[in-house]
Amino acid sequence: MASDIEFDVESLKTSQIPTNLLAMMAENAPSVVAARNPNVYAGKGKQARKWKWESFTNPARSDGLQLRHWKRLDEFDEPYPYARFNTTSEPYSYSEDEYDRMLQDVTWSRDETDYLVKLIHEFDVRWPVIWDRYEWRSGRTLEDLKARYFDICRKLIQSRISSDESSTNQLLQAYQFDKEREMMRKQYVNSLFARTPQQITEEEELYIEAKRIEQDERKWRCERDELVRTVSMSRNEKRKASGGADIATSTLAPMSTSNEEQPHKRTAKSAAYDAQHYITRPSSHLPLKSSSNIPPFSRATKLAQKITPQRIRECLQSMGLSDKLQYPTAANVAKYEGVKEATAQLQEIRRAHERVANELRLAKGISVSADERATASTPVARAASEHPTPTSTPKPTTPAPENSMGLSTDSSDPNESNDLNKRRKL
Amino acid sequence: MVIYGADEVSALVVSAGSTTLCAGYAGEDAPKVVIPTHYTHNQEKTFFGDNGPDVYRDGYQVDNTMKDSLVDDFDKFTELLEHTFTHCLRVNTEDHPLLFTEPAWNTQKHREKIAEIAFDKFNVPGFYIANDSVLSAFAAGKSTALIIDIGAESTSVTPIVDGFVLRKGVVRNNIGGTQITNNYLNSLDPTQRSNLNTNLIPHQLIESKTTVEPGKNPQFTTRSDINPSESWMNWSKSKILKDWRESTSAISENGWDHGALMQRPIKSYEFPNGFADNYQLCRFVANEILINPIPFNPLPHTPNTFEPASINCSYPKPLPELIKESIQAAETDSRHHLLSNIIIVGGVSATPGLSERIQNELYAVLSNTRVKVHSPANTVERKFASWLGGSMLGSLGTFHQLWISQDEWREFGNPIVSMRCK
Repeated sequence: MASDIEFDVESLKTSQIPTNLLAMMAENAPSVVAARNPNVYAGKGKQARKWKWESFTNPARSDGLQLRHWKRLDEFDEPYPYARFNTTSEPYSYSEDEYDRMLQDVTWSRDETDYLVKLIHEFDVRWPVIWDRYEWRSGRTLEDLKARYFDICRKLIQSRISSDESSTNQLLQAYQFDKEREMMRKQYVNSLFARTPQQITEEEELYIEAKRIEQDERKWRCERDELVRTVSMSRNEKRKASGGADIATSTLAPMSTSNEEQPHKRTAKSAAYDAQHYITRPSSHLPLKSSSNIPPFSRATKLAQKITPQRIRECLQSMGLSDKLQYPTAANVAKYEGVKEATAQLQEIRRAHERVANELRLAKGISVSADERATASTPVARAASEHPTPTSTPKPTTPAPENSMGLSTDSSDPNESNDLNKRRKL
Repeated sequence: MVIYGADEVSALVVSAGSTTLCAGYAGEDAPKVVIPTHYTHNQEKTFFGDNGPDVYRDGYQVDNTMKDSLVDDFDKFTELLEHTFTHCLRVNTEDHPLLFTEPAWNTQKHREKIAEIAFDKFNVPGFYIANDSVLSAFAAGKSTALIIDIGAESTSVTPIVDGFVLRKGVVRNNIGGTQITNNYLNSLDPTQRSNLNTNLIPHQLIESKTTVEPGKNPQFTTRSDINPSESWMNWSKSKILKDWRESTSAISENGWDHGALMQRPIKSYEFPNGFADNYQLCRFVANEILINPIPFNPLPHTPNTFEPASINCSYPKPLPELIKESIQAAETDSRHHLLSNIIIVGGVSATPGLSERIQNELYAVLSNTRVKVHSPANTVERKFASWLGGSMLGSLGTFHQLWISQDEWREFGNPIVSMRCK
């Protein structure tokens, strides 16, 4: 093709265009020149395909109507290709005997049932159309028709002998129809459809409002959880102190999941050995708190996390405690850990208190003008001032006094936070 | 063999409305023949088609074979069909199956009579009669749709589900092209109206004319040798008026807005006698009768006695109300599909801005569901939507099993029509 064009350009250059015009074109000779290719329509030596106007019969018809269409002569005779699209959904129908045996219904006469099934066949189970054309008697809803037909289908499926049990069950499943539920659904759809524009805008507004409230709630809960966590940590501490070493070991309990069987095999002798050398083996008899979602892990990694944070270490050092135990028996370790946790908690509580006090101060500043709000906040403010910041002087000695401090904040903090939240909502 | 759906058996498709008859071969994209359903006649002779009422003949009357989209005069209609087949299409009907269209309010008697004519008179090998709304839906490539057909004499709303008309949902009023034209005339100011009325002279009666400025008195001479009958004058005048309406009128897309509509361009129209005038606001008033007829004193709707009860209504209802009524009558689950497939067809649907307006009106009435109004992009597809659908249906390979054959007709007689054409 390309060569053809080139050839043509050449021929143009040589013959048809005057030389002065050609000089103006020079290098810019037209990129596309209508190429005359005489071979395009020549059919490449092949003869045109032959067609014939021929009559045909359609096997989908019962009367053998002969219509005529164009047919390629090089094709073999085959049955009319569109006949295979003549399909139906194969709705169920029943025999006289079957109806008498099991299909009788008080609300449906035989004639009406026949009429329904006839319509279903006629419109190939197109329910909206069937319902539209149903003229036996008024008052039948689409659900009535469906319920009757599906009921017939289920009974027929059950009674007819089938080789495959599972396919029968599948069919039964497919013809399941819950009329009440369907009617309920229709009712909902209708009420959705019948909404007025005012109702729709109202609904939208409500939805947005609900979303907003939900968001607020989540935020609020998040804050509260944090507060509760801080407070409950001190409570746990108290419990732990009274429980002693026994509970302390429970923190190690999840680690024993990997070798659960072993403790049972221990002999009395080894138990005596352990007692003598202060070896406490983690016991699997203790209930696991959330064993189900603990993935397998190496104990070493768990222990590594027990590194004391810098600030706690500093705090302990100020009390003259080193961060390593000389003789770390289980009981000693537990006690030492208790002290460390109490210190950590103390610091947590101090921070939480500072934050709440800050917020309180802010809120007070905002609501200075509103009298009733100011009075509402005064008891809390008084409570806050009555309890001096617990850890302003870092003098932790034993867990016991700290716990009492923790409890006192326990009583005041949630009130404070609730109050704050109330005001925030206002 | 590659199956692409079509297998042409050179079927003929005939679609007759209140004023126009379209005919052509199935499989083509436009009807070959578009002629009026009117005919002109005196005691001895009758003329149809392009050679019919358009031609002035001394002492000839003009009458319509159709009334309200149904065949009114079967004898003349048979002659009209014969004219179509032998003089316009020039076919031998014995070789071609015939696909006919009918409105949703067609009666059993009418369709059987047409089948009878097709088999006995034209001896067709196969016959089928399909609902024109269903065919309009097919033409738009949909099998479930809500068809709004705005024709010459009525507006009908027909829900189609899976290719079947939901008969309970067929509603209509008597607002169509004719009433819009009347309303257009009424909305003109008195001078414009009287100018228009005096200058409404069919071109057949004009001997000569000269061009004048718009609004100036026309200069023309009428033929003195002819004396047209009243019916012929009415027919010719209504034809001019129809053209005048189609070329100038439009509808406001977003409801009536006086200020905005005053900004719209003026349209001018030149009548056959050379008189030209400009139309501004009233060209928008005219079509408002479609949306809400009540303020415009429409003609009362006198339904045919044979129509199903659901179609009857004594006063013409507003279009959005018709649509809502039609949707309410449909089954709950199909409503959503119907509303998202609204198709506007018919001659009047070519009015500029109409589909946007209907969409906006429906938003106001049915704001809670997705409403989508489709309308074919070109005028041919809107005007001849049902013929086009028939053309598609008649050329489908899978459709050929549905023809009522000559043999079946002889065997079963009339009842086969309603058995086959549901």
